[in-house]
Amino acid sequence: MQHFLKGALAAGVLALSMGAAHADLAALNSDSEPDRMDWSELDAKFGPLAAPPAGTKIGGVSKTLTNEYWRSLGQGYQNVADKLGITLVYQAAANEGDQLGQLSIAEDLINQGFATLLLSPQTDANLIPAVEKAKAAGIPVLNVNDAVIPSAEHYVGNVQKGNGVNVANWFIANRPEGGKVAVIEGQPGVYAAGQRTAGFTETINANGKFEVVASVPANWSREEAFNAATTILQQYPDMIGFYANNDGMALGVVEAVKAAGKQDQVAVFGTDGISDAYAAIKAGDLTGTVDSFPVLTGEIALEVSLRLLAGQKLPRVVATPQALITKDNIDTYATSDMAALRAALLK
Amino acid sequence: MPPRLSLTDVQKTFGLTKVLHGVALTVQPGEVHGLLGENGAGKSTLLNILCGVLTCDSGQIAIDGAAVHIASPRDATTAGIAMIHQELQQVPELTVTQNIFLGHALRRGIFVDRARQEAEAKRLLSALDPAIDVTAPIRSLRVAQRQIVEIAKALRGNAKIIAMDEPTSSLTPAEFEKLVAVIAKLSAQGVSVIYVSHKMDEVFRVCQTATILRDGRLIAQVPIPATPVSDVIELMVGRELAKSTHQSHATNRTLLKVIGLSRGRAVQDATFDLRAGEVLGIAGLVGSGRTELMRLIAGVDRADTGHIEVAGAVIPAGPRARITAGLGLVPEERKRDGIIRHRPVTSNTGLPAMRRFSRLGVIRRAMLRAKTEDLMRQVNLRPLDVARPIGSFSGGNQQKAIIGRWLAAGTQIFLFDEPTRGIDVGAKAEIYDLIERLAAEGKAVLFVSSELPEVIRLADRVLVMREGKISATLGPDQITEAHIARHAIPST
Amino acid sequence: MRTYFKSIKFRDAGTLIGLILISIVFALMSPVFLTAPNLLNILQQSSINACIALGMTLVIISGGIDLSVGPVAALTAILGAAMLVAGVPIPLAIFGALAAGVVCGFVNGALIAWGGLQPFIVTLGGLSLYRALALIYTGGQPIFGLPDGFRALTNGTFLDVPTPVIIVASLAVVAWVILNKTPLGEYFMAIGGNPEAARIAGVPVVLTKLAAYMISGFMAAVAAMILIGRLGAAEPTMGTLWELDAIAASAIGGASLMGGRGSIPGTLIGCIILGTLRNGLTLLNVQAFYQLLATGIIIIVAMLIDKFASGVGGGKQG
Repeated sequence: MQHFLKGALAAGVLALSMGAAHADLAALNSDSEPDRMDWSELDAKFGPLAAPPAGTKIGGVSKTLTNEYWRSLGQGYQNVADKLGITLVYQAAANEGDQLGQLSIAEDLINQGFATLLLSPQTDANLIPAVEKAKAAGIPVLNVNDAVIPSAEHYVGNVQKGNGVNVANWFIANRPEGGKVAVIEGQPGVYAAGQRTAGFTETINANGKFEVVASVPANWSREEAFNAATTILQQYPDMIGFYANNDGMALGVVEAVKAAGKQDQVAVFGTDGISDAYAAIKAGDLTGTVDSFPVLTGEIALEVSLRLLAGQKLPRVVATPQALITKDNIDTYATSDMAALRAALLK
Repeated sequence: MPPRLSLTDVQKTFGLTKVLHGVALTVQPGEVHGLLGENGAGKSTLLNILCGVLTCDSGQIAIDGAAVHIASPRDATTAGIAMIHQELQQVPELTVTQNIFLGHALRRGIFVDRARQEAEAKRLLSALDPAIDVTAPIRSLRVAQRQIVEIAKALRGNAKIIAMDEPTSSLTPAEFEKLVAVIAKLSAQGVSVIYVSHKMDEVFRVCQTATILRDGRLIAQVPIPATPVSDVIELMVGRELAKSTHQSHATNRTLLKVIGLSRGRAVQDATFDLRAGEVLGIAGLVGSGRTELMRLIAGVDRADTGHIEVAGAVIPAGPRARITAGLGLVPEERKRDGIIRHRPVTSNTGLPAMRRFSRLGVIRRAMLRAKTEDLMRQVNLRPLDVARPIGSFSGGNQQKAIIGRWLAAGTQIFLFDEPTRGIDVGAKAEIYDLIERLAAEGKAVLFVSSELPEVIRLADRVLVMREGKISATLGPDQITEAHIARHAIPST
Repeated sequence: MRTYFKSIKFRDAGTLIGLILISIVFALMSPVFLTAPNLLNILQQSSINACIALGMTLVIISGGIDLSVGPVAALTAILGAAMLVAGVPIPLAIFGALAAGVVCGFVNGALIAWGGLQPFIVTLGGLSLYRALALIYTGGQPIFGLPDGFRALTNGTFLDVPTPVIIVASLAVVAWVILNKTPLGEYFMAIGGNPEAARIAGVPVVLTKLAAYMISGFMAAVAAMILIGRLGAAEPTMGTLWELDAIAASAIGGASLMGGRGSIPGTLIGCIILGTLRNGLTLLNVQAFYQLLATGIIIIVAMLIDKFASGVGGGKQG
């Protein structure tokens, strides 16, 4: 036991001295980090993207490919990689709960000579050992949406809070008389869910005419969202709107609203802009969504990583685009032509 | 006329072990043919080959002179061979009729023709046991009746040969008589019966011929009852069994006092003493509370009232306290309550005394092994390989290992529940010797048995149980079949 | 040492051959696979699952199942992290977390052994209960800022081998000794093989069951300590589906879910097989869905081999 204590003590001192080397970086908060810029300023401030050296290999690890968002993000990575002729390896865990599996994948990539890694962790903590290992191996790491690694040196993603703020502003502009609204939250404890909810709730409460009668977690599940919304609608028949932390849950809420026969009374908003959400908006079922343009986000993230590799001194956070999509503007944004989308967003 | 069934030169090997060495079996039409041998002699393998569960490596099977190929149970059924297993293979929730026609339903169009099935089932059963209701679920029938239903099912498939594996293991004497009558009817109809049993008196009642196997070899085919029982047994075990008479080792020192032990209606107010060196038998009908009493004494079940004393001290409930006090139960249902099938003999015998074989919490394997080997040599375990899983031994040898378990634990009071149930003749004699040896060493033995010759052979005194109560205590000169039966059978 | 020991070792050898075959395939297809850092990587990644699976194997051998390991790990991680962040001395915090794991196991075991409830149902309840406690305690938020002195315990190496591998290997030796060399091990196999016969033979059934679940809870807590040491943070959501990985590793290693049979070396090799699959397929840039497919196939093949092997070995005597 004495030996054990001595060993522990020695190891502790060693770790402290090592830790001091990078202790100057504050824990990251991607929404409030002051050292930041918007994606739209990249070209203006740092010039056009230079071509990377031939044979550059980039690795990407995201949550899971069962979710369209992460497939789209990978598509964005691939678009840029194809355009510039570099190699991309894009991997993901089997499901969103598989924290250790994702860590293993990230660690396995580190040994394979990638110039940089783009990580979208399951949780704020589960990829920390991989980040530390990459740092030790001299491989830069970019944290891409939406869980935030506190020790990340660079982050690319949207302002999570902005999602909720956008929706709250729509209610304030389009329902000036106010009324009862509710939030269907994502998984408790997930940064994005908390920020989106906070953005919506803070903005709409500040207006004073609205009452958030319920704010319940549905764990990103369409079915749980359906059940929660059904209950809320029974309890408060005079609801005027729902904000769901993602589109899957919003579509569950849409079904609940339809079942209650209140399509004309209740506005429903989601977040992410998945293709089902676009279809539902066109059909008039879903009022709107805050699209964070995953393909474009992927393109921007890869471009940022290449700029960092080229030695450009970018701010710690680069915010990616987001826009409130409703029936009125859906045709502008429903495009797979990324150049046109960029142009529309930059207008 | 060719024989109904003829098997010649049947060979079978499992892995590296040859279990049948060119066995032959010839059965005439209408003959009741005994198939005899100790456990491990190859009877089950031969039956399994006959009914298509196993295939032989080489050998010929002919029925009525024509060679047949049996590769599956379906082939056997087609060839007219049916088997009545020891564990009946029936669906308890279905009716008698449904079981008889299981897998062979009579149809009208796409529907089952229930009326015709029931009529046919009635016709089949009328010759065997008209008392059976063809619409009753199987689970409501007694084992003997279920057996009859199984025979009816065989006849439904036009069986020419019916093999019965230990058919009387759970029958009462009256039910056995009924079975004898059914077998006689089958025989009269020209159906051949292959009768497998360990009980010599039964074999001599029903069989006309017997084939004797030993160690996978054909030893003899003998006429019955012309051949003396002792000769048949000698052929089976390959040696002469010593005939010993009862000898008492009882002392005056009381080892166990059972005082007012009761549990529900199963056991009511059981009170008796057991002395060192004494062998006390418990007789009675199945269901008279004998097994329940043993379980109460061993602490396996909890008594409502009453207690036991060992050497004057009251012993608390629970198997562990009872084992510590020197009691040990050799249960009737070996597979269910006795052995840990996959574990080696050492682990099975050492289980109650693991601490005794440990030092500083670590088992001393070498010591456990040496002690177990020593004990197993004493009880004559065959083969003497204590590292083998106990499940791979025959029933008799498993029983010896369980007895060895209590020898290893230093048990003073042995509780045997049907010590020779399902054990072949040779091993039976060895178990008797062991029990007598225990008594001679000053240990106390309490045993339950349904076999009166066994009780008479072993017991110094006999407790007779009837409907949960001890109805009589018989002294040495009162232990006769007549006395026991008189106290065992309810008066109403 | 005759048939019995032969048959167990035979089974372990089979698992090992499986691992070697898988490794040969990956070694031929990826130049990185057979390098020392990568192999150590596999061991390190397998160590958490191995830690859980060791406890799970003992529970399975004793005829039970423990579905609550992941949430027990999450709860103990949260408690340990909270103590560490609050400045409790490191050895005391570790002791507290491990004790909490043992207590969780005790609760499971008590309901099963004394309450006579089914292990599957009890630990399924535990699965929700312990997760809920972890979420309620933290409000769903991760706990960051574990002291570096604590992290150094799990992030160091000894002779180039990562500390978690050393810790789990040591625990495996202890588990092997318990199972094969102590009366408790005999009791596990006895109550798993035939609980009624074991009771009649004087095995302390209640205490043995309690011990199995307490060991499992302890191992979950150790896994939690290793993981939060590596992560530098504790999350109430960690440990999702750990029970299935652990059961899979035990089964690949030869444990029978009917109880009574299982092997510590087999379980370890089973964990390494799962880790190797994940590693090798990642190196080959195969998507996670196919890794699931491969895992499923391996489990089923292992079961088929078991079935086949027991069919050959166990001809009924008669």
